[in-house]
Amino acid sequence: MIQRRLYIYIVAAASLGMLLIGLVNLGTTALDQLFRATPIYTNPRDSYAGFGAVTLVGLPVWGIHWWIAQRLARRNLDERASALRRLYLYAVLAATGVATATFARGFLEHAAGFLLGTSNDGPSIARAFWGTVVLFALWLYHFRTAAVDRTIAGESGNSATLRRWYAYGLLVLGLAFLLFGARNLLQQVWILLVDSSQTIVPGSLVPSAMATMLTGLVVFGFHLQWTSRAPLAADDRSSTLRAVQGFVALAASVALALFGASQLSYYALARVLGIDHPGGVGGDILVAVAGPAATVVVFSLAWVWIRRQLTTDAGEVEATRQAGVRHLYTHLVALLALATMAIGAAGLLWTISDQVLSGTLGRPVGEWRDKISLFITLILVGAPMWLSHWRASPEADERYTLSRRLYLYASLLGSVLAALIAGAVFVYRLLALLLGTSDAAAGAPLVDMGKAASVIVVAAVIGLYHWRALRSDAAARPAPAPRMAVIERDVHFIITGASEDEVRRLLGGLPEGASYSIEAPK
Amino acid sequence: MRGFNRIDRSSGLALAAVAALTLAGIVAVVLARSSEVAADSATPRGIVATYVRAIQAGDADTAWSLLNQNGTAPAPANGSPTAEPHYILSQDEFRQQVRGNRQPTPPTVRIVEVSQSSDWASVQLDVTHASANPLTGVSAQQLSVYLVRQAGSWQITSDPSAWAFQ
Repeated sequence: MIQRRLYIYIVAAASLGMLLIGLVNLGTTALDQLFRATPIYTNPRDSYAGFGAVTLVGLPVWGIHWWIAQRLARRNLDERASALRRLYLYAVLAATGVATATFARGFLEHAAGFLLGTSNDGPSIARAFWGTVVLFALWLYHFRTAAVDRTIAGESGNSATLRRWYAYGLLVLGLAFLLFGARNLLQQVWILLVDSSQTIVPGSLVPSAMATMLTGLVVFGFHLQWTSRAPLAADDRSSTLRAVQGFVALAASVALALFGASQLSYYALARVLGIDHPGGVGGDILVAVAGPAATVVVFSLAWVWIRRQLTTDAGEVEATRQAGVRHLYTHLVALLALATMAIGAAGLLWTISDQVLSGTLGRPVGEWRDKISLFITLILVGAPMWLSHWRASPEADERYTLSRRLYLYASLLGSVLAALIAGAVFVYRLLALLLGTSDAAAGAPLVDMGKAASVIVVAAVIGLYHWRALRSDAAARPAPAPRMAVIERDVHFIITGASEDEVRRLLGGLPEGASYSIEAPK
Repeated sequence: MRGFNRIDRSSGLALAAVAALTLAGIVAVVLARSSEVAADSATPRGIVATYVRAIQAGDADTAWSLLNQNGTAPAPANGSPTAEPHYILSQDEFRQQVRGNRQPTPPTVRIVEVSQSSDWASVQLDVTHASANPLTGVSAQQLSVYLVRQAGSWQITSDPSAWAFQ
């Protein structure tokens, strides 16, 4: 049975791929000829022959195998409920969904460019439209087939997991398109508004970002609504995959918002210190800050919104899970903020030691104000974020959570690894100094040792602090309840209706030191 | 697909933000087109603007008319760098290059800096293409276009690589 299913669905998937490639390219070639556009393939006849053959082979093979698959599903409920059939359906949905989104984005980009007068490429609009229509039609057909299967045969276990992989994968992809598109659009709008007098041609950046954002909105919005309605919502509420995609999106948003804020503060601080081109950024500073400012605005809003969604999700399940989600969020932000602050502190000490030692040894010293601005900025962004999210001595319900232990061990691991690598560099350069290698006379090993020591100091401080927090958590753990008084004399039970194995299993849970003997009647 | 939930307040706000951003994008492009660098043939900025727009419109003949056929600029008085001597395209080759490299998504071209003396000028441009990866957004490069004044009119002398603006 399984071999037959494997054969049918593998052949159906391969032939469907052939059919799609053939149809999309046949239409594209025909449209190129219709619009007298420069063809993608040099000779249209070659294109018709090649893609015509792919279509003519793919269509009947897919048609026959899919017809067999549908007939078997109608006759047998197990066939309809099989995980292999769901794998085929959700894999086709994922592939056609992503391809539809890509073509739709291209269509929106070219159409918006045409309407805004930044592009006049009609054939590209028609090509992208054709691709979108073909792929969307097949996506819709498979989406409805999967819905019918769910209604008739239900969906649980592996089949439900496959559906979640598809749904939450597309959800994350749609969200990424939406957020990055919005960020890029905001950046381009900002640049055009503050610097329009220097613009020769606005180009297709605004239509491109707009298309990415709108495509993302449709993909994300559809899958969010689909997974938020009954019966999928109830089924998915406690799913790990749903929580994981939420936290992945949250972590990315927090990291990008912090990164944008760091860049913004860096540019501001560098300007205060008299750097004309912080980080090598040329031209108008108002144009240079467009990217970081757009990143901060879009990903901070996403941060707030995703956090609210996660809280809402958690609020609809039990209180323990709700608290767990809150703690996971807090410790995730604290970890990212700690990493930002640590990089800033280590970089600041590194730059200072480089300047001091190079100056003392008469070695050439590089530009320091730019680097100092960057590292101070990282500290200024990371420190308040860490202080507002990290609690050294929280209530008992937070103190022994898995997320807090993960945070503490991740911080400890990061510190130890950083100290280990920097320690190795320190010893290597110390040996170079003692053995008098070629660059020792110029003092290079001493400068490198100073830089390595900067990393060691910061890693040691962070590592020790978190090690003490772990110790403190262990010390504050309430003592286990006192053991009940041990029975000193023999106790005799009479058990009936159970096998000897069952009785032994039951008694297997006795504490260490206890013993028992079974005397079964002959 | 029936029976979708009503949109909650925060999702409604997100939708409103997307709509506002879309509108802002349209307004920004319209405003940018109305106040973009003028095609003034008396200034290096105007000449470069006309050249870039002609290239993007596929008007190879107009773009060609703005090029200095000697191919190299005379050394400027202040000793600023000048274009390297290079292979000079024929008008047909230039026309083919302009037509052959046209892309459906032309880049944004902005002036970053203009340096000018009485008979020499350089215009530094920021050319930003929409990236093939929609998540990274853009790929930017800075190019310099050099011009000389001959017989009272400005002409472009640096390598006319039309593909850079397409």
